[in-house]
Order: sequence, then structure tokens, then C-alpha cells
Amino acid sequence: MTAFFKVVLPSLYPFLRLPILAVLAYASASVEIPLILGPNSPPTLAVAIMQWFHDVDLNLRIKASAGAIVQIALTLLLLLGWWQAEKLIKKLSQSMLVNGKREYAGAIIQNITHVITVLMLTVIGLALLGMVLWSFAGFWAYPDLLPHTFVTQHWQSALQQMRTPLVDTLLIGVCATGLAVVLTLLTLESEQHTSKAISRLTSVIIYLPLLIPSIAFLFGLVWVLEQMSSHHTFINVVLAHLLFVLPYVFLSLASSYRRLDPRFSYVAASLGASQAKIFWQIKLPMLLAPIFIAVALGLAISFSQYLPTLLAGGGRINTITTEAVSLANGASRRTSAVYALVQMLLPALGFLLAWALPKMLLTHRE
Amino acid sequence: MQKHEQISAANSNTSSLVIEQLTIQRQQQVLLSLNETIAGGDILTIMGPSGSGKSTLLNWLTGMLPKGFSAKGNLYLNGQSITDTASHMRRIGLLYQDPLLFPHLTVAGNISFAMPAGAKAQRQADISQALSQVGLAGLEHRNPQSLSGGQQARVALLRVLLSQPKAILLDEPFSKLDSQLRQETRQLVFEQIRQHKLPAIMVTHDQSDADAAQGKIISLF
Repeated sequence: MTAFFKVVLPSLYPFLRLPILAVLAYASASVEIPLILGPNSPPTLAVAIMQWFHDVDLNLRIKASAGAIVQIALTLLLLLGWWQAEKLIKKLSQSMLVNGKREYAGAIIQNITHVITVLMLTVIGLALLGMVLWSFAGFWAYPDLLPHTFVTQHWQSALQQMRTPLVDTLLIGVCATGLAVVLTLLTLESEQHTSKAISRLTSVIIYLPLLIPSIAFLFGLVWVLEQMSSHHTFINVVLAHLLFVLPYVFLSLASSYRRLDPRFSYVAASLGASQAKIFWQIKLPMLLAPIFIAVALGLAISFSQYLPTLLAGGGRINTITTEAVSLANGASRRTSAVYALVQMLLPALGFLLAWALPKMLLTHRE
Repeated sequence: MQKHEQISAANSNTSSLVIEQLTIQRQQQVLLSLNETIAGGDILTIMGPSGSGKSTLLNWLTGMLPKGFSAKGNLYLNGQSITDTASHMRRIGLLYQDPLLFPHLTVAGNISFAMPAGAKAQRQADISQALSQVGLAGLEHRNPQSLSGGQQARVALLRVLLSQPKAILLDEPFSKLDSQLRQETRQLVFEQIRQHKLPAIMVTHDQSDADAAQGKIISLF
């Protein structure tokens, strides 16, 4: 335990920083979570901004814009606070790292970690079980532990209802992820041609959508899209999704792409292969597994987008996620459960395929 | 592995690799200068500690000098200047200490990747013949990772030779093989270089490699 805190964590933390900041930014400005958990409670700032934007009274839009600025400031303040806390802890713990003390209540910390892990897993497991039960429940009176009857009717009717949202979800996901993967591969390949890594500014631009609350800039994006072509809602949604899919795809592909032994390319070139041939016949096949993972990740991110779908689609395009959120505070817990499960199964299926397909493709010739 | 027949015919009488007045600099500092002519079948050995510029020299020869380095001088292969020729047009084969066989291709796939286009049946026959000449008959459809280290090294050699290079560069080619295998592989590689009359440059830090090459030895510091 002490080894972890003294040696592993300090070198591990730099890799965790971006994800932590992204989660922090997301949590500070999430719209869908408050909508699901407390639809009738006083809104959080992010939810209030959205309500103002959608109000019939157009004057409220100005208030919403001001709210968006406040939201950005708030999130920035949080990120800044985190950064300062990080520096403070680093400063304060400096002497502890090298004082030679070998043991800091390791057993207690370990036990606490175990308890938290078990608790989290239990809660998630029970929630999942509850959802499965609800999705099959017939009549279920209050004090009973299990439903009286099990029926498949909710699944049947929900699956029928969700046909269009499901197709839209998949189409948008495939388009946004496809674009993101192509853009990422082109960027990484050109990086190797010019043997110059992308500049800091470019990385910041790529990762910016993760750090700025989407509620704060999406309305601006929607306004721009409307000025350009208000009729192509599908394209608008795909572009809005791309903004959020791209950073994750880039993050997941970049390290594998840059880590690929450059000598493979050197050897291939010395054997007379052009850059294009090396890209198509050496790099892509060798990176098949990471590319599949990036695709699955991109799909999962696209599937989970709520606000971009809602805003860029102008409410005319529904995906499983927008349906699930609007159903969550509605009447039927059973239908909600089906939607939530489908929403979970889709990305799971993607990752399963990403894990299995490269294995099948690479071993069938053995 | 005593005697190996010639694997393909790519030799000409006048083959030579000429490094003319080469100076490689890193940030205004001279890293190395060289002026050498290597005749076909000869092996020039470059020795020196790491950081002495051995790899940089190979990078320049293959046209892959990294950013931060600058080079003056000319490179001629069989009388033609290839100083500014793109890497994949130079016809200079490259052998590393790792075989670097492409893991997604079979043994035959790795070799045919390197071969010039031609009739499929003829290419397959050439591959089979070449494999059997180095004691690897029947391994065409094996996965490279399922081969032993020595077998992989031999496939890597065949891959280079069947790409019909006009010169060969060896970057510590035997340093990952154990001593028995090292001698055998070394003998095989050098034999092929001499039979094909290819000019070769070997970078190594092993004296026995240098001795076996029986050519000029240059030490970089």
C-alpha cells in the first residue's frame, strides 16, 4: 500500500489527470443525470440553462446565454481548484515520499478500499438485477420481494417502439465513429510522415470538448449549424457527436499508433514498399485490434450522447438515450427498464465484437 | 547448413556502394564523416559504442535521417546517385537484430510482400525453393511467431534477398541469437551476400562478427 502511494501513484497520476478533469467537467454540467434522478427538484444550473433556452419566451435566451457563461466560469473554477489542490498535496506530501517510513496504516486503507469496492459492485449489481426484474415484471405489489408474474410483453412492445430510435442510434454512431477513426488515422499517419508530433494547440483543440461543459457551447454550435443548413438534422447530429467521439477515439488510438515499432515501416520501405502500401498493408492490419477497440469506444460514446442529439437534432431525431432519459421520469418503470438495459447492451455488444473479431480474423489461417 | 545455392540472380559485375564525402551533423556538431567505396560481395564493418552515430549512418543510407540531423555528401549505388531518392526506391535491403516479420502475414506472405510483382505460381515456386534451401521447407503457411528465433532470422534474410536489393545493411543482425545459432546464421547471411555480390555495411559491437566479415573495419567514437 505504501509502495503504491509513494511510487506508483506519483508516476501514474499524470496519465489519470485528463480523464479525471473530463469527469469533473462533465459532472459539474451534466444535464441528463439531474433530469433522471430529480426531474421535479429545483434544477441545477445546467438544467436551468436548457429550460431557459427552450422557453417560449425568447427573452429568456439571453438569460440562458449568460447562464452558459456562468456555467463555463463555474466549471473552469472547479478545474482550477482541482489543479491547485493537486499542487498543494504534491507540495505537502513531498517530504513524506522520501522520509523512509515503510508503513502507513496499510491494512486499514486496504480494508476501506475493499469495503468501498464491494459496496459499489453490490449497488451496481443490485441495480442491474432490479432493472432486469422490472423489465420482465407483471404485477408487482409493494412489499413483495419478487414480481408475481414474469412477462415478456414490455420487451416486445418496447422493442417495437424503439425500432426507429435504434436504427438512428446505430446510423449516427457508425457515421460519427467512422469519421472520427478516419480523421484520427490520417492525423497520426501524417504525424509520422512529417516526423513531427501534433502541436500542443492541436491536442488542446481535440480534447477541448471534454473539458468545456457541453451545455455551454452546444447552443452556439446549434446556432452555427442552423445558419448553414437547418434541414439536414441527421448530418448536424453526426457532426455534434463527432465533437465528443473524436477525443476518445484519438486518445485510444494515438498511443498504440505511436508505439508501433517504426522499424517495421523501415523494413517495409527497404523492401520497396511505398508509404501508402506500408499504411494499408502493414500498419492497418497490425493495428487492427486497437482500431476495433477505438471503434467500439467511439460507438459507446455516440450511443450515450444526450444533449448533442437533442439540440443538434432539434428534437426530431430520437436515439435510445434520448428516449431513455425522457422515459425515466415518465410513468412506466417497466418500459424504462427495457430502454436502460438496451442502452447498456449496445456498447457492451460493441466491445465484445471488438474483442472477438480481431482474434477470429487473425487466427483463422492458423 | 554447409552449402547454400544462390537464391536469386540480382548481381551485376559493377555493383558497388559509394559513400562520398559524407558528414552528418547534429546541431552544428559533427557526428561522423565517412568516405568509402564498398565493392559487391564486400562487407564494411562499422564498430563503436552506442551514441557514436552508427544508427544515424544507417538512417542516412536508407533515406530516413531523423529531424535534428543534417547530412552533406553523396551516395552512389552501382554508379547512380541515390542521395535524394525516396527510401522505398533505393533498393537497399535492411536486416535488424530482430527479424521483424510482419505478424499478420504468413511466412510466405512476408516473403511475397517483398517480391516484385509477377505470376502467382512462379512467385510461390520461388518462395518454396528459397525456403527449402535454408532448411525451412514446408513452413510457407506458418505464422511467423510460431517459428524459433533462428528460423525467423532465416525468413527475414530470405525476405530481404527476394526483394532483389542492390545493397544490404545489417544492424547488429546476430546480437539476439545464441552463439551456435549466431555462427550458423552469420555464415548463411555472409555467404548469400557474397554469392549475390552485394555491397554490404554491417553495424555491430561484436568483434567476432567483425572478424567473420573479413572486410574493412571502421571504428566510430
